[in-house]
Amino acid sequence: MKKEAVLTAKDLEIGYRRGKKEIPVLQELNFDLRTGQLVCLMGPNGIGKSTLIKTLCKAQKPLAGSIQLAGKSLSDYTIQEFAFSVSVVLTDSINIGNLTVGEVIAFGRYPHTSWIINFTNRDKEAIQKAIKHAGVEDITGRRIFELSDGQRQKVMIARALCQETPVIILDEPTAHLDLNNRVEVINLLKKLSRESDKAILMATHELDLALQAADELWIVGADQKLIKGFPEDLVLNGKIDEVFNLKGFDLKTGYLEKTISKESIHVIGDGHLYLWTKNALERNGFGVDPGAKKKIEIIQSRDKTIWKNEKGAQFDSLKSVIESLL
Amino acid sequence: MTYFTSNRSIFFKVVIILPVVILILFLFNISLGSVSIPLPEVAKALFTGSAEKESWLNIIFHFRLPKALTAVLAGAALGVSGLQMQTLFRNPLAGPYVLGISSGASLGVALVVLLNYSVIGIFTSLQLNNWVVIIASSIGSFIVLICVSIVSLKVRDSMTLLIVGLMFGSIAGASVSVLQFFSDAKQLQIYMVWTFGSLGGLGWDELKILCFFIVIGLLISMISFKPLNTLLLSENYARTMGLNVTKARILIILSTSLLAGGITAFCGPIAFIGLAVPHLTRLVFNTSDHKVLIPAVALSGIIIMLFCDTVAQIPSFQSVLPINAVTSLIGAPVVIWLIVSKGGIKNSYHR
Repeated sequence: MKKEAVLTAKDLEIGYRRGKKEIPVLQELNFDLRTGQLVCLMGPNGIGKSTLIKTLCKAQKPLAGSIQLAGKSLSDYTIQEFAFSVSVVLTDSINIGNLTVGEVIAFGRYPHTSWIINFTNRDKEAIQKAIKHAGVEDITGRRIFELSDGQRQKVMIARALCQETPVIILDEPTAHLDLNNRVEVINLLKKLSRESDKAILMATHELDLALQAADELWIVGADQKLIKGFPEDLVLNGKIDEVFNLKGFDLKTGYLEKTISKESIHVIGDGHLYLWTKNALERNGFGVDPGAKKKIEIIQSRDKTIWKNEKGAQFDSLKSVIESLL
Repeated sequence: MTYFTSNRSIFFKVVIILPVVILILFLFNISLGSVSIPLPEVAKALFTGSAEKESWLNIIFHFRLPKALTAVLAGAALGVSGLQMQTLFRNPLAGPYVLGISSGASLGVALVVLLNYSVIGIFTSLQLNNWVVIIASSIGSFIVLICVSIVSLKVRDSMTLLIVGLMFGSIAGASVSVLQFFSDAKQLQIYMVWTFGSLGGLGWDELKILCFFIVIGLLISMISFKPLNTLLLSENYARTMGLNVTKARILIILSTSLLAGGITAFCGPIAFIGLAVPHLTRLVFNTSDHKVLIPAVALSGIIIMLFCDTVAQIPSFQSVLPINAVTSLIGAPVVIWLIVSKGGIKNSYHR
């Protein structure tokens, strides 16, 4: 099932103008962003992700090619019309002191209000909905300076939500967040793309999370081209390795490359216990091979786990297992 | 559930308490001075146009009422223009004069006073001809503002504009220094007296013209609620929320020019009010919403200006202290106390 394309680029060339000189950053870009789709834009630092985001946000003019937003050329949009179609979460730090979370979120309704800023019931509904969707109900009364980075990011997303645009563009929304908050933010975006049929484009560095959440990946490499595709396909055909030039990380298995410098061991067991035992051994330079002479058997009883080696010695933690082998 | 801090208590403060305080200070301001007039007589004179002594009516309607009204205009204008500059430049140290308005005005006045004094002979004594000063100061501010506005159309971010404004100010200030170096003591004294600022020099004709500028400036700031609030996030965010930043910037600069430029032309440079009143108001009302702040800052500015002017004319004392010094002498300790007691402006201001 193909959903409707809201944002389409044809032969787009983006970059900077210095006087009359054009400095292209990315060329021959062709893509569509569809409703209900979460797309992650990825690439090494300094490759032009932000330039692309800025161009799509109308903050910068393309050097060549066209961008269509809902069937109309982006350059024909006025600033006000654009605010009805695309909402944006930027990397700008927000330190507005004594504004409350509710007030900042309500800023998202500004394109819909008159100069006197009176919120209609319709506006209030949209604000409530955005607050609920972003899961910030319990902090609406707090002041911005009291929030953690993760909460602040969710507030900015809620602000973008209540602008009620079909497209949301986010620039590195998970930067500076800890793992928990990163997962939460990405899950939130994924949920939004599913439930409210929004087209969401997010620039990010989080390869692992993008692989798990994105419907499509757009990858920009050193050759100034944009490769797009289904996340898993891009992993399997090696495109991601090519672009990111991953060192010591095997993307297909999802593990750090292990250097086996010590003997191999036969591990007997299953499930997550097997996986983590293997992980501990490999991390310490041991190979895992069913044909090996040395054996580690995992015995799981109701209340505890013990590891037994081929000589019958028992260990109650992986640390002691590894220590016995070293 | 309210999305804005503008709840009933703030409404009460802005609509009831501040105006009542202003009214009381206004009456006190008129009643006190070298000749003390009892409060009831002041009220009677203002509302019925009659008083116990004919001389009181003369004092009230020819001197004190215009002066009190000038204080009202100056307080509101300087406060609001300072607030707009602090928001536009996202800088707590910004004030009405960061665009170089007062430096331009100083240069205009300095040129007239220090260069042409002997040539034209417009000054009969230490007293300056009002209109010459007003025109000179307006032209000075206007030229600096034109330069800044041309730059503002070209640059994308307001920070650049702030630096450019400061640079134009420095050029004007340096030119004044050069002029001062080549002038004699009497000229210098006339110029220095102008830099002290004065609320008392305005007659009714001048007051009408000043009032016209200030009202237009305040009206423009009233229609800028939304741009100002949006600019709190950042200029980039403001653009994505449908704000034409360049247009908003020009509107804000225009309003500030009318407000600060008008007051500087008619009263000389009056420091401190524009910088401090927005901070005081933000601390007291604990909000950054301009829909509350603009009226609240205007009213608080009036209160502080009236209070300072009342102190400046020290009851039963023949001469009047320079208003420019009094605003800082009284205001600065108040601001320091308030800021320290609330734990810094970090919480009420960005950054």
